[in-house]
Parts: sequence; C-alpha cells; structure tokens
Amino acid sequence: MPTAVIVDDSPIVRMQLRQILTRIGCTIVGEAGTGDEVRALYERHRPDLITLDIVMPGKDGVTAVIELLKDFPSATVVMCTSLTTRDKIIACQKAGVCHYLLKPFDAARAEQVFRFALERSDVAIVRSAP
Amino acid sequence: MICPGCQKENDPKRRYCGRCGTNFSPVCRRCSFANASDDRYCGGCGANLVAKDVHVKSVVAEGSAAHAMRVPPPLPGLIAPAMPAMPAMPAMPAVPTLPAMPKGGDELSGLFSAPVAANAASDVALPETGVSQDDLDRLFGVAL
Repeated sequence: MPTAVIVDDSPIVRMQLRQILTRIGCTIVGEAGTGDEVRALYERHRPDLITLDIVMPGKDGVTAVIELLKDFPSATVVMCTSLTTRDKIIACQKAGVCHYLLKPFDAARAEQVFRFALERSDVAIVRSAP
Repeated sequence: MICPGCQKENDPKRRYCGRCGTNFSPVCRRCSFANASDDRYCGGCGANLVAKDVHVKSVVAEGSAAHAMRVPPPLPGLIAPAMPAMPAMPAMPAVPTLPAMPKGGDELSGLFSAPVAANAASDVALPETGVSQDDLDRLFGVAL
C-alpha cells in the first residue's frame, strides 16, 4: 500500500488531502505544517508521495523541495498550493517536482494528479475509488 | 565572428547568431552548397538564398527591427529581372561527414550556454498571469 506525507500549514487542507489520499489507497504516515519538517519526515518514513504547500511558516515549500530533491532525487513530490507565480512554478519543475496542483482543487482532479504521481513512481495504487 | 544581420560579436564556433538567429553557414536547400553567411545567392546553383529562407521569415516578425536587418530591400541593378533557366544539375558529390563531437566537451558547452538554458524554461507555454490547472498539466506532461 502506498504511503504519503502531507505538508501544509492549513489543518483543513491537510484533512482534505488525507481524505483524498486515503480514498485512492494511500496510508498517511506523516503530516507537518512547515517546510522545516519535510526532510526529517522523508528520511524517517520514505513515503511514496509527498504533498507540499509553498507558503508556510518557516521554510517555504519551494526551498524545501529543492533541498529534498537535491539529496533524494527519487522522491515523488506534488506541490499543492494556490500560488501561481511563474518563477515558483518553473523552479519547482526544474527541481524535479512530479506535479503542481492548484488550490482550491476538487477531489476528482486531485485524485487524478495523485494517481498519476504514484504511477510515475511505479507504486501500486487502488485503481478505482470504493 | 561578427553577425552580418545584427553586428553582434559571436563565438566562432557558433552556427547561428546568439541575438538574431542568422545562420552563419547557410546550406542551399536545392544543391547543398555551403554558402557564406552574407551570400544572397547560392554559389553552387544560383538559387536566391534570401527568398528561399522561409524559416527566417517565420521566426523574425515582419516589420520588426530584426527583420529589417535580416532582409534588406533588393538593390536595384543587382538582381536580374529573370534568372536564366538552369541546366540540369550534375550529381553532387557526397557531403563528407563531420568528425564526431566529443561529448561534454567545450564545443558543446559553448553551444548550450546559459542563454539557451534560460530559453528552455521560457519556451514552456505558461502564461505570465492566470495560470490554470490545465496549463500546469501540460507543463508537467500529464494528460489528465
């Protein structure tokens, strides 16, 4: 069963993402509200997927993902943010981010993006929602 | 090497101008003769290199400053009103193959310098404002 870590400073968004990821068969192994905790969570759990907000207290998501993917290029990261700044998007793409999901997102679209990310990382996922 | 199109100083190893894209060694599409960058007619078959340069016209916008530099107006008296019919071309000798470029060498690094890398990002079809999820799907190569 694939595992996921959710990093977002909004408890409501974390809950939404938890529901969506659980629905496609993911086990949530960690959550955080700042970018400072991303690396430690990844090293501890080695999740199949990380969802990462950008605007957060402490280290922002772009800095966190650049640092993470530099040391762990095989990590699968999906940015989940309302930020549409071109420079940030390009920075994420260059860093090796798998996908970029815009908030507010609908559950169906988010499911598609997460399924795509997990398929790209060769993780077996639940093919159809229960 | 000074670009004949925009006068920019270019590295001699470059095949195209870094500023305006002028081809420094245009090869004739009809006979494959390698012409000089400022040739307007092919040295091998007499073809009009400027008029045939469709790619240049599509890249450089009509009426732009670069276009004005790249495509000068025809000079009266220099262009014959009608070219005489060309005899059938003899078979061209085989073009010698170029020696293999060393991978990762200085030659390649000169070709793919920083401006080209910057263009790679700007080539992405991402609007400056109003980025949508569809734009992002295309950018990240997802067909959802």
